[in-house]
Amino acid sequence: MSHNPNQKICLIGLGQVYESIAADLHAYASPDTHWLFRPIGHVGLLESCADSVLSSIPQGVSLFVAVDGIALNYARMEIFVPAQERGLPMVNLIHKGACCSPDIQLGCNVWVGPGAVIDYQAEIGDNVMINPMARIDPQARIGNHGWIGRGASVGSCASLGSNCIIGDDVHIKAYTSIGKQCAIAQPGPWSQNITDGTFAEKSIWAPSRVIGEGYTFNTSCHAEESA
Amino acid sequence: MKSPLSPKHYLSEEIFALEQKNIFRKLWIFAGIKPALAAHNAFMTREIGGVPVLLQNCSGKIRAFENLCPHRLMPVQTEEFGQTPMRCVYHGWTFNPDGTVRTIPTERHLYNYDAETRQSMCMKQFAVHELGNMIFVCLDDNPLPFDDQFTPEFQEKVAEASMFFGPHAIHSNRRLDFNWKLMFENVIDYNHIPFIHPKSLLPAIPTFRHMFNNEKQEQPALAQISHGPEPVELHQLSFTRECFIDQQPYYWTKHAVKHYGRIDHYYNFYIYPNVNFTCVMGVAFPIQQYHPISAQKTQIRLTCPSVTVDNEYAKRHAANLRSVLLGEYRVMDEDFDALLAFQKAVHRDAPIMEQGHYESDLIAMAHVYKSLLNA
Repeated sequence: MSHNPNQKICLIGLGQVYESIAADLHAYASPDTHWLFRPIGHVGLLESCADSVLSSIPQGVSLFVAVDGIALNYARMEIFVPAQERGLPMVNLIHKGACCSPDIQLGCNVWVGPGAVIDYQAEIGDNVMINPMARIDPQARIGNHGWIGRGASVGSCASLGSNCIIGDDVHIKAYTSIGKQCAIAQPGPWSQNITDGTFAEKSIWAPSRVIGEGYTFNTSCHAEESA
Repeated sequence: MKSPLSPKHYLSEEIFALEQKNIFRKLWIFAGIKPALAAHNAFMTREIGGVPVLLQNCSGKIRAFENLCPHRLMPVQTEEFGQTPMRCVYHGWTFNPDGTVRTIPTERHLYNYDAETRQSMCMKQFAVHELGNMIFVCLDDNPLPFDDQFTPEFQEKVAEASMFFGPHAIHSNRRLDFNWKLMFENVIDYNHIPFIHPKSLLPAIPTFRHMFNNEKQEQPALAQISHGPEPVELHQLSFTRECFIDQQPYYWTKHAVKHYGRIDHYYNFYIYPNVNFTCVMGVAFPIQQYHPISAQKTQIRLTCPSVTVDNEYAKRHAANLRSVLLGEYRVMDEDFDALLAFQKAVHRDAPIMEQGHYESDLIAMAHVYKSLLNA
């Protein structure tokens, strides 16, 4: 929860996180916080309107970008990245009903929903949405642009790469390592280490993985010929 | 009319062995997509016709080898996809781009090969043909001319559509207990759609919806392959179909996507013997391959390439493929239930199938299949 008196926060985006924050502003900041709203009509407009929306924000106002939904987790970057590149200040929004250990590390533009718990020495990257009742256990690490679903948990010392989506009620067990750009949306415990770009959910056959540049090879990689 | 195939064609291991020898080790077989191998030393491994095959990018050129080190017959590459030079993990032998042995650690001390043996040792190389972004491999020592298997018109269409592939794909494999031919026959037999896919595929395809309701509408062409009394040839077995699709585009980056063809169309490219390459609304390109494991086991290899996009973020967001994948799974799972039931019920003494006029493509295909088996 932000406690800066006379703070100005601009909420940008669309979807459930946006609506949930907009409906419960006092749970995220002190009553004297001045809020501005920049709702986006449709996710398809994000790319084209990013510039104009960001330009319209007065100086001294901090941003929070909320674009959500599992399939749209990546779309949030269309506002977040340009805002970060412009050096605009961004806040974290932590619901007063969430519980965060004082020694956690949070990036920017992190949302912690009501009832969520972040335990000691956990590290959360930039632009991560932690949904209500989710639990991040001690020393767990979550990469940038992540999505932790409602009631999900990330076990102690588990690590998630960037752009990972953990669905509702998925429980990543302690010490599990999840690569970047993975989606686990199969409710229940998950203890398997998985490589970049792996998808796991009930309706997707296992193993399903992304192949191509950045996943199974790198174009910049000059793999040494073992002569 | 009676099917040219009998139940044993779906049950017999002897026939399966003949298929492996005379079809999968003779014809051009789709092996993978180019975006999966778009960098030096990127590789993929798989099996074709019972042979372990390695596809490796050697300084920009895609080559295919038998994935066996000549020393102890260990696979040279052990992962399904990756990026490493051709180096056997067992004793460290390395290989040249033509498959010959490049270096052998401690060769002088431990191996003592004579010059002739040393020079002759290599991984067997197979013929490769690139058609747009699709890679085909032929295991035969005297590869069939590509044009004998696929008409130039068909090649042009496949090449054009595949050039819309983006840099990523999502790939998955699944083993199922039915004969590989059933799935290829199933995708050509459009008449099952109202019964097996009443809620998934049927509502999206008005042509079949109207047909099911006995409305007079445009009918799908009954015969794509066979138009007359002339014997059907191999190159006629690969063909295209397209139909109108009544569905809203689901791709959130659709504004940034380069579409193939018409956005309101569903395209099928049937690639004989075992690939159904589709294009859904110009933006999704699922490739289903029915890879035979045994007479009654098939590996379904599903590769869904991303589409070319202009949007900087979308380019990196391979997870967009998830929605394509979910749609494919839903329809295929419905097919699998039916085909598993067929395989469970069929037995050697079961009657020959009675096929109707609309199945003339399948009948023509079965005739060519039998002539290939007996070649």
